[in-house]
This record gives sequence, structure tokens and C-alpha cells, in this order.
Amino acid sequence: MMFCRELKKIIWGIPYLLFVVVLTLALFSQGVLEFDTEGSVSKPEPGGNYGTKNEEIPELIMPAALQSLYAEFQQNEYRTYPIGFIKTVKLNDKEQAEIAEIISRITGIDTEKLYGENENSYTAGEFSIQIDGDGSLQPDGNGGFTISMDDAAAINSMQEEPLDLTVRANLSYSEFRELMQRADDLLGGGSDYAADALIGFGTVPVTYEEALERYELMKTRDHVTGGYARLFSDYAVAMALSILPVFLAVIMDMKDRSCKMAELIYTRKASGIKIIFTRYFALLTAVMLPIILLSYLSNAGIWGMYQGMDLDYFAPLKYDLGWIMPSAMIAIALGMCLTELTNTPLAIAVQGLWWFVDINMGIKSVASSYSLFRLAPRHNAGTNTYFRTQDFIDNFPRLITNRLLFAGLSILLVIVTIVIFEANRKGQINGNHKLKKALANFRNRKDQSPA
Amino acid sequence: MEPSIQIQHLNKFYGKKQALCDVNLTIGLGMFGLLGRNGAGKTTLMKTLATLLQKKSGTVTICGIPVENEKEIRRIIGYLPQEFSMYPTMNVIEAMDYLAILSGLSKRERKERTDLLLEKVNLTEHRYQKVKALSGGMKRRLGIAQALLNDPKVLIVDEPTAGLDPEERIRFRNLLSDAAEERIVILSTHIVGDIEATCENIAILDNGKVLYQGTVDDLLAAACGKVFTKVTDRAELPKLKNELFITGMHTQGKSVHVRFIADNAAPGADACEPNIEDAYMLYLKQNGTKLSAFAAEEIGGALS
Repeated sequence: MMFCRELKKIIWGIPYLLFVVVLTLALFSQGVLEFDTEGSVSKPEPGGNYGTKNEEIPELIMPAALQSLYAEFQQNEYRTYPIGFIKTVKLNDKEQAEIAEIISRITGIDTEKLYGENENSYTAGEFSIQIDGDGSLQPDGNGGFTISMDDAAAINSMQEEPLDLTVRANLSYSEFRELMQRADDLLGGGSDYAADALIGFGTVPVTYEEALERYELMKTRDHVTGGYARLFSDYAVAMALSILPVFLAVIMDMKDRSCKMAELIYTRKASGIKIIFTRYFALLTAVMLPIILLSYLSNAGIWGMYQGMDLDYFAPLKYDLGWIMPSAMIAIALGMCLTELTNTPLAIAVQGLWWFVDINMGIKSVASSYSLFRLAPRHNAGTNTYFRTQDFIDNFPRLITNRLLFAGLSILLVIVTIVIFEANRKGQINGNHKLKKALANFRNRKDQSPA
Repeated sequence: MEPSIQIQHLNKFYGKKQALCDVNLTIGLGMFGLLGRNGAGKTTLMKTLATLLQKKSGTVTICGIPVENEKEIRRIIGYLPQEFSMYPTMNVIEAMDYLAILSGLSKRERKERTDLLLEKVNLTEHRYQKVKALSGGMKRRLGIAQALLNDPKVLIVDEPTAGLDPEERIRFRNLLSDAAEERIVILSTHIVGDIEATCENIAILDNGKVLYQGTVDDLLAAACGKVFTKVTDRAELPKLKNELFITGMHTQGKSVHVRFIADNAAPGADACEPNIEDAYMLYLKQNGTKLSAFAAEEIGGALS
């Protein structure tokens, strides 16, 4: 009964309405309600194009990564993604010399030659022409110029042999990875040369056999709907459920004090365990209800495209509860805990920062990322990759560990919230002079700081 | 056994500031008034009894249960805080039901108690009205109703009539008197009229110390022969304010009827029957509370 009252209290409010609207817009913008427009996955036919994949093949990776590094070295413009957004890094002379040293150790070419090639080069960004001998530049009367040369052989610098950029035969792949990692460190991290990012240079076409295997996996393991549900979960966790629930939790928790209800609740018979856990599960239910609805709206749209196939109609629910819910759990728990402690919206800032860093740190690994501490695990695979089921299966234990860790952490935070609630109830925190003063100072600083 | 509250050597600090200083009180069945100025420690004492604050030292038992046993204490108390409100978007019935659930009442009990109490506080007609749409007086009546949901043995009511119009104040006092027939009701207030109308036993609290505990009659008896009235010209009023400890006055044309406390009658003054306000002011004065004539006038205004 208490659960129903709490749920009703949450649902019949403007904050919840806003939550649902923002959630729907966020997911709608990612196209999760239009999966059917991508077309259905059909059994691959021999002789077709099945797309590409990345594999850790040293013979492919080493020359491609070397060429890329050398090209960026020549221009002294390196692309990195340190916190998600692209950042062009320019190195100073000393750092450039270290990159030259790295390329030299990979290729065996003298660093001076690397610099020589660099100086004589011309690029779209910094075009230059060197004219030796007795050449002259004459206006042609049409707004252009005519170059006349007495000695055509004078353009010798432009006809120099390009450097033979090949990886030394006796360089091992592990040594290569170490050197590339050094280059990444010099660039401040987030480059394509990081040891775990080098696989991006190993692009190979998917074979017919592999495509067929992918298709069969999608059919037998994902029952088709699983792939779509996974894609929905990927967007839902990253774009909404790792951040939006904290707003709801903070607003609902602050409401007790703003509505002067806290003391009325504190003096009731109900235990802190009952009150906090009921509120937690009511918030979680309120957050998950629209997600479950949207996931089914998204998934049901493709059911008609796979008539006659063995579809898993529970796939959206499984992914909602297994993949999405732990992220919502942690956002709600953190919101409740910090709000109970400080009676400020501090939790929004903390969760917001965590979400921002998590999303952007992993922007290069959007395709798939199941790191143990990722707030929003990623598996951004659509129909063109047949949902990369094998990749998911391989990483499934890690995903489960991650999700269990977050669910466990959230329960731990709820327990901490109960302890804080009981302390508040007895005036041990709010009645504590020093802590009260510290919190008041914190709030005052916040109020006085310029918006 | 008749319910009672025993407070012995109670001390409470906020940091270095002592909010309650060796408080000793015995409170029995019926209405008990706790009178004191703003900042006297009334709310701290009320919150300590309501398990919302922890004491530094001393013993407090409510109906034989030590106040440290919060779980049991919460079963037997009802509390109406100084700043009372509820979730504004809930209607009266929903708000009552929500708090009844937190009080651990069954579905049947919730319905019975809510209907009965709303009837008692005359809010049955407004049962489906949103809390935010209630007037100040209605909100306070709702406050009493919610505090009685669990049929408590002790009702703790902190400054309940501040800001109410005279009609609502009288209605509220009557409600408290009804509630006090079968339980302990502790009424904290700085409005003497509330005490005068409802309480037989009172305590005066000042700077965290109990200055007086006893009956209203005894308090009044102590003030006999020390309260006087004098009719004077308005022009003389500033001079009198400096000389006398004025507790009340009212103007009639060019003359002013002044009521004051003194050990001996001033020239032209007549002795009169003390009221509780006079007695209270005398008590504060006798106990060394710094009250200038001007301050007394201010307090008197707040108290009347």
C-alpha cells in the first residue's frame, strides 16, 4: 500500500511528466522507434558485400598505423579524442623529435630523413613550390601566372624519391604496440595509436561464411528481436537512463523538506528501512515503466518483418531488466543518498559529471564496450552487422559482472541512505551544529556564486 | 496507570550554545502549556520529546518508555510541528491516508480514523480539496487531525495558533481541549491567550531553563498586589514608559489606561486583578530576565 502511494506521488507530478517527455524525445532522436525503416536482415547470398570488421592482424595494423602516424607527423596535426570531442594536437619541437624517433625505430629510417621529407612536402593545408635555377614568374594577363624554366631539371626537389615507409622486418608486434602507446602518451591519450585502439587499423572484409554464421547466430541466439532490443538498450542507457533518473530522485527527496513533510514522516512508526526501500522501488518502477513501454513499441515495430521466424517476444523485457535497469538503479540510489545527506541537488552534478565522462571517454568504443566500471555499457550494432551477436556472447560474462556490480553498488547506496535518514530523523545530522553549519556554508556559497 | 512524562536534568547543546539547561518537568494527563519567548527552548524541548533531537544528558520517559527507545515512543506520540504543511498536490484524504500508512494502520483503521478525525476537525466537506487550496486555519485543523491518526497517548503541539485569525484560534483551542480529555497534550506557545484558555498546568521556559512549573492559579496568586492600573494623559506616556514596567495599555481620547507591574502602587494608581500575561511578565522580571519597559511592551504585544 505504501508502495502504491509512493508510486502515485511520483507519477502524478510535473517532474515525472517532464522525465517521460525528455526520455521519449531522447530515444526518439536516436531512431529507436523506426528500426523497421532500416529493412529486415535476410540470409546472405554468396558473392555479396557483407561489410567489414576489425581484427588484430599485425600485418595489416602495423603498416596502416605507421602511415597514419607519419602523415600526421608531417603536418604536426594529430587527431585525438581525449574526452569524446575531437582535439587536434600540435606538438612542440621536442615532442615532434620523440615522434620522429618512434617512427625511426619502427622503420629504421634516420630521423633527419624523416624531417627532410617533412620539409619538402606539400600538403593541402600548407602548399609551397620551390623553384631552383633561373626560372621566372610572369603575369599572363588573365589574372594568372606563367612559370618559365630554363632548366626543367631544376625542379629536382619536387621529384625526390618518396621515403620507403615500411616496418622493420625484425620488429615484433608487441614492440610495435609499445612504441605506438608511447606516441599516444605523447599526444595526451585518446589517439588511434593507443594499444587498445590499434585494432581500428585492422579492417578486413567479412566473408560469406562469416556473414552466414552471423546470420545463424542472430536467428538462433538472438531470435532476431534480441538484436533490436540490444540496440534499444544501448541508446537508452547511454542517452537517458544513466542520467535522467537522478533528477527525479533528487526532486522527490527534496520535496519532503520543501513541503515541510520531513518531521511528519520522521515521527511516524514506519522504519527507515521500509520508507527508503519503498521509495527506492517506487522510483525505480516509475522510471522503468516508460522504458518497458518504449522498448516494446520499438521492438513490436519489426515483428511483422520476420513472420514465420522464431522470435523472442520477451527479449525487450529481458534487456530492460538486465541491461538498462542497473544504470537506472545507480542513478536513483546516488540521487537519494546525496540528497538525504546534503538536502541540495549536489547529486545531479555528481551523476552528470560521471555520465559525461563515461559517455565521452568511451566515445571511440561506442561500437562495443563492456568495461567493468562503465556506467553505460555499449553495443551499438545494427542490422548491417547482424547485431554482432558473437561479440555480445563473448563479452556477456563481463556485461553481467558489470551490471551486477552496479546493481549491488546501488543497493549499498540505498543502505547508506537509510543510515543517513535515521540519523536525520534523530537530529544527528540536521541537529549537528558543525555539520549543519558546513552544509549551510556550502549552500550559501552556491547561492552567492554567479549563475 | 495514568500516562505521564518525566523529564529529569535534561540538557541539550547546539555546538557550544546550551539550548536546554537542567530541565526538570513532570507532565500529567490533560493540557500542559509550555510558555516562553521566541528562542526560549520550547521547540527544542518539544522536538526532544518527539524523538527529532537527541539530548546531551538527563532522563526523559514518556508513559514509562525512555525517549531513547524511539520506535516505541513514535507509536504513542502525535506531533504537530511549528511549520506545518503537507504535499500540496495531495488532497486532504490522500494526505491523511499517506500518513496513516506510515503510522502502520490497517486499511480499515485508516478509513475509520480518517473519517472520524476529519469530522472532528470539521474538514469532511473539504476531504477532496487539495492541501494547497486550504486556508491557514483549515491547514492547522488538518495538522491536528494527522497528529491524532494513531490515537496517541501524547500529543505534542508546537506553536499551533501563530498567524490564525481570532475565530480559528478559538476553534483550534477547543479542538485541543477535546483532545486533552483522554491524553497528554503539550502545547508550546508564546501566546498567553492560548494557555489562559486551555491549560491548568504550565511551565515557563526562558533561556533553556524552567522558571516556573505549576498551575495557572498559583502563577496568578503570586502576582496579586503587584499589578496596577493608572489613567494618565497621552503626553505623559513616554515618561511613564521609562519609569514603569508596563504590560498593557489602551487609549481613550486624550487619556491612556496604563497597566503595569510594580512592588508598590505609584501615585494615582489602583491595584487590579492580575491576568496570566501580567503574572508571566512578573515571573520573567523576578527571575532576572532582561526586560526593559520597551521590551516588555513589545513582548506584551506578542503575548496578548
